[in-house]
Amino acid sequence: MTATSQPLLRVANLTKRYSVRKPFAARLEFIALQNVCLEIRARTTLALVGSSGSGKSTLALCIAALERPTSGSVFFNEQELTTLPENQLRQIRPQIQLVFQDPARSLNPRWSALDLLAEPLLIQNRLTAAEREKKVLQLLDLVALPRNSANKPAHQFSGGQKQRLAIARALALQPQLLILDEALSALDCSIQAQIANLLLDLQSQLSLTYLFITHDLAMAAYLADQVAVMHRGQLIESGAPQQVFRDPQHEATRALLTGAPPFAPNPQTPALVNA
Amino acid sequence: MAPLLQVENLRVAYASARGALLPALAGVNLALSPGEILGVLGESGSGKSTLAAALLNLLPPNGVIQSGSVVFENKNLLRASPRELQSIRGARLSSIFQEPSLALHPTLRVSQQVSDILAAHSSLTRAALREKTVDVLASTFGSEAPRIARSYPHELSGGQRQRVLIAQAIACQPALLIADEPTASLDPATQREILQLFRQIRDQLGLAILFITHNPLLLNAFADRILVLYAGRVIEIGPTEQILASPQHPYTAALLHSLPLSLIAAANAQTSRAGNISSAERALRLPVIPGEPPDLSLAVPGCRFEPRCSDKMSICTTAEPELISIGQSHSASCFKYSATR
Repeated sequence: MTATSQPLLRVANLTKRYSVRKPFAARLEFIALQNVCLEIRARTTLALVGSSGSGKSTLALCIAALERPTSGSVFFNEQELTTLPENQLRQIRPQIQLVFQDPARSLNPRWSALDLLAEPLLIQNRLTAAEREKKVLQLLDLVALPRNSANKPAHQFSGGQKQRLAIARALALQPQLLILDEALSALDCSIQAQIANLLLDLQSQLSLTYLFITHDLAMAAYLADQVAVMHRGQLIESGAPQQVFRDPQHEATRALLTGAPPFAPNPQTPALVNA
Repeated sequence: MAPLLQVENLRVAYASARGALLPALAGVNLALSPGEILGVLGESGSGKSTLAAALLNLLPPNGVIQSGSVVFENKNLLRASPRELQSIRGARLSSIFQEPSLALHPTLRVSQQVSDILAAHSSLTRAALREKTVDVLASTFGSEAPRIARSYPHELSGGQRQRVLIAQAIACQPALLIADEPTASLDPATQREILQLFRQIRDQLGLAILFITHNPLLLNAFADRILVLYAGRVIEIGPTEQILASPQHPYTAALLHSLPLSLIAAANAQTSRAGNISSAERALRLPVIPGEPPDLSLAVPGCRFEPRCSDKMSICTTAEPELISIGQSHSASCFKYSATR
């Protein structure tokens, strides 16, 4: 996590408008994103915070090229994605992977871990069956799931294990950027801590870059090098976590902070553990 | 004060398809005073939702109450007839569940959905019903109530839908409200507003609230007492400030320290900086509880937390600890405290 690295991702003046049509009413324009600019350096984490409906997930979808923005640009490794035709995008897609909030809904419950993790490899048609199986076992090791669980169906895994599977699946194609859309929010507190640590380990091991979307400001402060705050489709503030949270400049950031109950357990017991 | 709700030795199990019984609650005791907010803290599989369902006598068909009693306003709900239960539930004892969009009828106006509850438990005239409905909605929406009353659920935000559910729950002035993860699907600012609303209705109506959550942060400055559930057992119970500031059971302590806030607090204590974590400190990792919650289908002689515990002793694998008083109205079930006594 050095400060000297190149921006892996650069978003410039991104705007996304949806037209909303209500019966018996004029067509309305809903502005989901307005002139959003941000940068993520390689091997760092940007936390995107904001209340519900502030445009965080729309921004993530535009970055992953799953939505076409109305205007503006997304540069990934200095390559403009928004104007790229689908056949060329397909070659870039493995580089940008997503992990969503609820692993129970993002994994087919009847598929085995092996099938789930092999599917991205199969789609990209890169390996033989034997190679795929070897790679799947490596992925299980990477997220600290036992190798003998490869043939278990997804529904037999616990919530935390399912999220480990979702992360392993996202890592199958060796991406550079991982978009974590509320990836910890659905998990129990003790499991959140396990997965957060896993994400940090994977980041240093695999030189990953994270876009971490969250409601949880403490987790943002823990995981991120930079924080960006969104409010009603605009990026209103960004900076280092200590700067943004200690000295918020914008009213909406202060509102987010007061939403977080101020409480900390007594630090008498050693709370810091070496990696 | 006589307890409003007294639960004694409540044991609940679920029958599996093969006929085996999976224990979900293993002898829960608790008492709730009128007007008290009790936070029930537990992770997935700890039995917290089973507790809510058992208190309402609303267990799913494969749920079996093996023993125990749930005495609410001097009546054992587990022995009550369906007709008696129908008159108690929604009136004296009401409930709110997690997903507000699933709990509301999608094609009925809010006013209708609130007045249906009033009509079920009283014999008001239509005019009186209409007036009462607006009154009830005003207690959760203030001056916005008339507009909300005309709305359909899909026109409302998540926070507003939750306020409708709260209006329904307090419509008949209950003595006890059971809320199972009522704020889990809301963003933090809205969560805070809803918690304030719960406090406000408690102060105004004097009702007791059993508030079930997996998030200890929500209970701070909200609950009067916290009960910690682990593997279907009460492992610690005490006043909120005591539990959050100096948890005594190893599980509660480990759970609170696994929150990223604990790292920030420790960093602050070490550097006396009122800030966050520097990148050097981030090379450190959150102290996690190793392992996963226990498999309740396996009968284990010792403490259920022992495999994950950092403070375990030899007795922990052979006997199960009981709740021991370790201070004024603070108890924990751990052999650490029986050894010193």
